[in-house]
Amino acid sequence: MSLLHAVDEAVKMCRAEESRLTENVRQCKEILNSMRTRVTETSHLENPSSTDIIDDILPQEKQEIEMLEQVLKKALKIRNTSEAQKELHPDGAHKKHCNKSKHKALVNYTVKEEGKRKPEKYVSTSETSKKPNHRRAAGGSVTHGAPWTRPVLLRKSSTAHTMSRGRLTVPKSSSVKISSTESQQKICVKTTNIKESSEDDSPSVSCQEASTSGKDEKSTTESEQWIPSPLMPVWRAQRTKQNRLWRKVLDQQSKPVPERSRFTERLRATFPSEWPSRPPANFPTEMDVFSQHCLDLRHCFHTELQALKSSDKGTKHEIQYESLRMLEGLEKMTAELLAHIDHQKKDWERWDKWSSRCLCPVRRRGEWVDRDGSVLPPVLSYTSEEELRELERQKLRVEQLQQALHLQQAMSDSLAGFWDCPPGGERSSAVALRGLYSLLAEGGIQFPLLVLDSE
Amino acid sequence: MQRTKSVKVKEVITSLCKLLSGLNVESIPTAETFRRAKFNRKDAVVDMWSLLNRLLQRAFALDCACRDSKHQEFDTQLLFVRSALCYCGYGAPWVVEPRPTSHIEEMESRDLLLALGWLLASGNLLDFLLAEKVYQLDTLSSAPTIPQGPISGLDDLMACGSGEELTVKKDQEIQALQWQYGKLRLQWKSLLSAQEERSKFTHRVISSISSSAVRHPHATGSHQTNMTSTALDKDLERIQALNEILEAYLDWKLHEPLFWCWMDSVMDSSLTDASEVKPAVWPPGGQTVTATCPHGDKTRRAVRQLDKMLLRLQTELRARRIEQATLALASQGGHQGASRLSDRQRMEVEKTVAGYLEGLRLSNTSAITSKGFVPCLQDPQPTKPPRRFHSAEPGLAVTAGKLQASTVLGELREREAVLQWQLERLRQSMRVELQRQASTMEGVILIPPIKR
Repeated sequence: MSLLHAVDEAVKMCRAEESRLTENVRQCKEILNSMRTRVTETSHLENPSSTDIIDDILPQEKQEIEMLEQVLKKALKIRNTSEAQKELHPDGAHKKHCNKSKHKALVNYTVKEEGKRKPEKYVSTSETSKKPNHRRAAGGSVTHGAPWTRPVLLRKSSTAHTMSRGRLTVPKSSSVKISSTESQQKICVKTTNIKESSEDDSPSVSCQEASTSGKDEKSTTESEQWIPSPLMPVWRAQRTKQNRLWRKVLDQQSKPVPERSRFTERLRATFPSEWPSRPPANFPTEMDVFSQHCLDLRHCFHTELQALKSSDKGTKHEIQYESLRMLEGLEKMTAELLAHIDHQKKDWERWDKWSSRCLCPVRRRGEWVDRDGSVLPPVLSYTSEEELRELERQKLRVEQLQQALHLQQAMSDSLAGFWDCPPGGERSSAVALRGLYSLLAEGGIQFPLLVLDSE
Repeated sequence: MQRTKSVKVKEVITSLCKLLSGLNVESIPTAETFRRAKFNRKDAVVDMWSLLNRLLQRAFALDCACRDSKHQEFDTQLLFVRSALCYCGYGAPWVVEPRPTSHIEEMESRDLLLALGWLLASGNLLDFLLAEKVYQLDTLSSAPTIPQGPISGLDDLMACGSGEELTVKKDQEIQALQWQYGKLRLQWKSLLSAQEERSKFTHRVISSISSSAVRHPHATGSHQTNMTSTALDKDLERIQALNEILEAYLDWKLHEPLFWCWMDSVMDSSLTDASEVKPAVWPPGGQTVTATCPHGDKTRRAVRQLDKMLLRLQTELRARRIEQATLALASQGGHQGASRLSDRQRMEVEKTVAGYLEGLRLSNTSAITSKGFVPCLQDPQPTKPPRRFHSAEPGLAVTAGKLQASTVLGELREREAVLQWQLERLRQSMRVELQRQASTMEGVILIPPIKR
């Protein structure tokens, strides 16, 4: 194929490969995300250590919560002038914010389908009256003891907001640190931007939304409790089984089957005597390999000649000797290649003469040539993430270099003829020269400087 | 005894059919059909024919624009089947010497069965289909890259000639090439970064297979709580499907020897029935031309071109080598004493040259990762002694299809070095050449870029 076309094809292939990789990444991400599900936690999920955490965090958070409350009061004023929906947000912000701390009280939020709230730790209010709720919440933070501030601030109703948007904001908010006021404001801002469905719908919506496959997992609140998805053990078992089976398959595949060889031998005996010994379908691929080898040798030879020309003759014996050895080696390799393909070529020509008259040429799909006896992908054992990354990086790098080398060879061949023709004009030659230099000598990365010295 | 034997045969064939259906080959005939084909029954012909056709279509494709092999016409199908069978090395009489048959009923089911046997026995069709399945179903596997065919720069991109127009055209072509090449480089960069990301996530998924800790999903922005659990579901389904196929494969492998014994018996019955038919005379001379395909000369051209190139190269090499040898001899003979190369120097040079040539040879072989691979995190404490992966010979590292990452990395680095060396040599020679050209041009001074 021509040069430009080849580069085009290469770009297309790269793109296809890249889209394949991004698709793969997306799949992996989804799998990783689905490995854990959020869970509505009742008290039995509390761990003993959380109490210590509470004590530690409390003094710090008290301050922050007070600050937050003030901010929220302000926001509420603003919101009171806007639509009813937005009033839920400060509560939601509260909640999200507070969830940062792993306070056990935070985790208790089950939104039942009937929209009932747990009355235990906070004043239950109807969803429709946000203002009084908020006030109560604010009041609650003052009146109740510190351990209860957070639960008071938790508004189940505001869980609703999570719905379509909540999922967006929740993961983000989970990374927000408590101590940064900036983030608090961010949350507030975010929540004001949340568009909500009707408040009445929200609890049920939240139930639905948060639910994944089972009924018992979802919580509309951003509980920090994550449990592994119930599918995990099954998935792990299947994956381990797959690894095991694959290794077995590889073992089995490498064992020879004498009955099979006997059968093929017997069949072969019924073929015509002059029939090609190797399947002709392999030939085109092998030809490609040979052609590439020949091109490599040829270019090596030319560069050797070039190197010789440019070095000072007669003074560096080592270079002379090296050249000689190189040439000898190249000659030997060429002779080997010639001998190697000679026999196959004869076979092929005989075959081709016949087959072109009554058969259509056929090519193998995919890489099916069994050069070393196996087409099955081997198992690659690696020890660390860094090793795997390095390996795949190297693999791509080798492929890239190979492609660059082939293109370089092709460019040298085709563009070398440029100079045999008389140049049309000085100017255009200079531009062309610059372009050629950059392509051929610098891989397109750098450009030479051309100084036009016109009188 | 006969009963158990026939039951066994049925079992064996059923395991093959199960494997084939797992590999997505459609409408597989029953084991009974196979057995009827052994006895050359007519009613098995259609089924066997369609199976053979389907399998061949999975393995081969027509390389010409003749007729679409998916057509239902028997003629087209026959041409495809014969071509494909011949190309994979099958030389039975009905394939080599076409009888003027245009009806499927005239086919012999036993012939078809034997052809099927050949297809499965020679080459690695089943393995190939299995590998395809693995890449399809296992998200963590790394598929092989399809190599680009050799690029012939000798198709003259730049026609020689004179005139302003031609120069302009050349300029345009060079510019177009520069542009495309730049695009390619950019594409590679984004490909490399996509690969980095993929490795990262692959590793995460792999490590969660064995780890007991549940990892936090980083804020990857996945906000579809409903959907994410189904991703695991889907993967589970895929892996379960793959496991079934692998089990079917292992089952088949268990029964394989028996299958080939049975195929032997099929051959026996075929030979006894057709004792007077001798192998076809091939290549047939003076045959009437039945159907010529005008598209088959791509390989022919490549062969001719390669021939020419190699012979010319050989001649040039020989001439230059002799010249060089006499030159070296003369210069050595002239300056006596100190300027002669010492033995040590000679050896060093020879070693260097051998290294270069070895590199050339290496770049011609396919990389160890060319088949793709299935990554697997190694246990930090293996329960059994590890295999000898760290041996010096790279061949041993591929014991039974198992690779060690460190070995592979070593080989890849070697390759990279060789390719880099080749590329640099080519570029250097181009630099010299172009600078020389520039010096012949009047009024132009070329200053090469500074090496960074």
